[in-house]
Amino acid sequence: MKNYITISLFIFWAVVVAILTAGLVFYNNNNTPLPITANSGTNSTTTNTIASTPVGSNTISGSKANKTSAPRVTSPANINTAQTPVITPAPAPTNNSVVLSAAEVAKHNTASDCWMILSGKVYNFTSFIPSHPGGSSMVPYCGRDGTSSFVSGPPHRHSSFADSLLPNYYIGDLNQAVSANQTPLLSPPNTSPALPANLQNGDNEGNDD
Amino acid sequence: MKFILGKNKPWIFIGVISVIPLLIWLFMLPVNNRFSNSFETMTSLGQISALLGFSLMAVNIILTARFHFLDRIFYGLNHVYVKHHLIGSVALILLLFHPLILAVRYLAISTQAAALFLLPNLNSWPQTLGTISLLIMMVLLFFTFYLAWQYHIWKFFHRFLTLAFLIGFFHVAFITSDVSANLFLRSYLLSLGALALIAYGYRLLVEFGQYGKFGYVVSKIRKINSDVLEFSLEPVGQPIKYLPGQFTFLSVEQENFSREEHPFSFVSVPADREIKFTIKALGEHTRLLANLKLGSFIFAEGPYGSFGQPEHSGLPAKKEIWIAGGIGITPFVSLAHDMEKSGRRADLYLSFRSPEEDIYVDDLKDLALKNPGLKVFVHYSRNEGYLTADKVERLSGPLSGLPIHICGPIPLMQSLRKQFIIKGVNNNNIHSEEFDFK
Repeated sequence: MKNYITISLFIFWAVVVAILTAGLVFYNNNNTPLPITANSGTNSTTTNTIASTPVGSNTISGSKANKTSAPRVTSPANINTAQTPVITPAPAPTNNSVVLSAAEVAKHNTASDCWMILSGKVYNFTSFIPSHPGGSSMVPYCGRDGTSSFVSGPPHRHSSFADSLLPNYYIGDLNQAVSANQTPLLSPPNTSPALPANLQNGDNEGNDD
Repeated sequence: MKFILGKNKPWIFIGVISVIPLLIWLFMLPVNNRFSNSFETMTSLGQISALLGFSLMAVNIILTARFHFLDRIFYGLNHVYVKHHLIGSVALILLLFHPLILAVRYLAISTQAAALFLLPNLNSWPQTLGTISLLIMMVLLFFTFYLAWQYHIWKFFHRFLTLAFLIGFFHVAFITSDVSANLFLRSYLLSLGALALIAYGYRLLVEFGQYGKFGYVVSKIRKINSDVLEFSLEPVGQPIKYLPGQFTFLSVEQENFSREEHPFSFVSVPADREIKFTIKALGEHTRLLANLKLGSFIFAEGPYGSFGQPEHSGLPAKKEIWIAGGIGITPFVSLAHDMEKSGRRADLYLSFRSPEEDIYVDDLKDLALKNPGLKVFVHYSRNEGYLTADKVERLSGPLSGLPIHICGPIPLMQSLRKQFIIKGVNNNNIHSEEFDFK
């Protein structure tokens, strides 16, 4: 058995070192959004002036910069009010560009084509849904602003690790015009397997581990 | 059939306890959902390795408590420890792969996500506890597996594996997972973990608090040859009750003496008030025992073992083959002296390197003269080569169906076992006693 343990330890450390090294090599500061908080700004121009926080940070710092620009969330009753974005006129779409307005996001509201707004940023979570530890519980938020659920639940507050996954699905800021040529981000991918029927109504909560 | 099932009782015991959490987990969701895509498959494999690894580790700790019912189920405590080594290794490997598989699943998202999963997460202390537990296990593994320590140092490091298990227990208790989502699974795992910790606490009470031990004083010391001493012990209080062939753990309460416990077979018979042990200076501790004084206080824990017990042969009483190598003669001395009472018949083979190293030969030959059921054959390997199954068959006749009991150096036991199996002896008829508690 000693040989098996030695081999297992070797494999373990080889894989761990490989993953950590690869993670460091491909570390990318440019696409890192602010960690999501209840008080994060929802105005795209305000958001753009705030320095980004490195991914993996275990501190939630965005709220400090936005304290004076958004009302503090104190109860569930006023969460939606507090989170309602200030609507500024969206820039006019040009040829080959798409404006990530709330109305545009609302069109992508199914498990097979799922966009979501989180703290003023728009994400395409279509390919992530099968991997979501909470199962299909995020599907009802497709096409909508899911910030309050992400930050404080239900079902629970998402971790900083969840924050760290967001860059992979980021399309652009709310009301930002993005090029329609970003087809991998904008188009619903064909590779995601369909959720089994009994999970599509969000009646089964999966787990993180 | 009953005997075959009986022989597999240990594995059934371990298997049932360890597989129950897996079955509960499997029935939580349709199996297809668990393996519907690569991410779900990796998640499921990571969870399976955790469930099995934790359960096996808990069972492994329970095995070290030296409960008497385990001694019976496993046909001797020595077999408990053999399985303890195996199960501990398997559990550790499973626990190593648990975080590894869970991290690898995130590679489908990004290497950064996979890397972040592996790093300690200060915002998720249950996950961090799991990391700490695994790191402690790996460090201790390095100390106990790959470095050659003296026994008492080795044991000191080995004990801390239970601390690693305790930390892992809190990881299981508080991590958000399928375990936290299912009350039955959670209750089972936490109860199993708690039982393991209680068993370990009991073990500490016995070892350091002398709970349940029997007190003796050294009443006689007889030197048999340059390396071998026979000790007679008088009981202080209630005497230990044992069967011929069994062993007990002895620990010495004498100044400048280590209090380590070591197993020794009874050389005396149950009818005697005194108990006797014969000790050869083979290791550091047994060499120290040469310094034992008359009147030294000794604790005895046990008895344990089922070596030489006729009912474990699973066969009607018939002639038996007993083979002793060197100091492995000790259980047979007790068994032979008890033969008149037990009515057993046996051909006893005594194998020594040379006549200068033989012990109890005259004593046993005298016994054979008085008891026609006992035949004694002495073999000296320096002149005749190692004792072989061929010689045993030549002297004792056909071996098929005869129970064979072997006690001696591990290479001797393993070699003879193989030779007997080649001759067509059923492996279930061969009983040996390995003393490897490390």
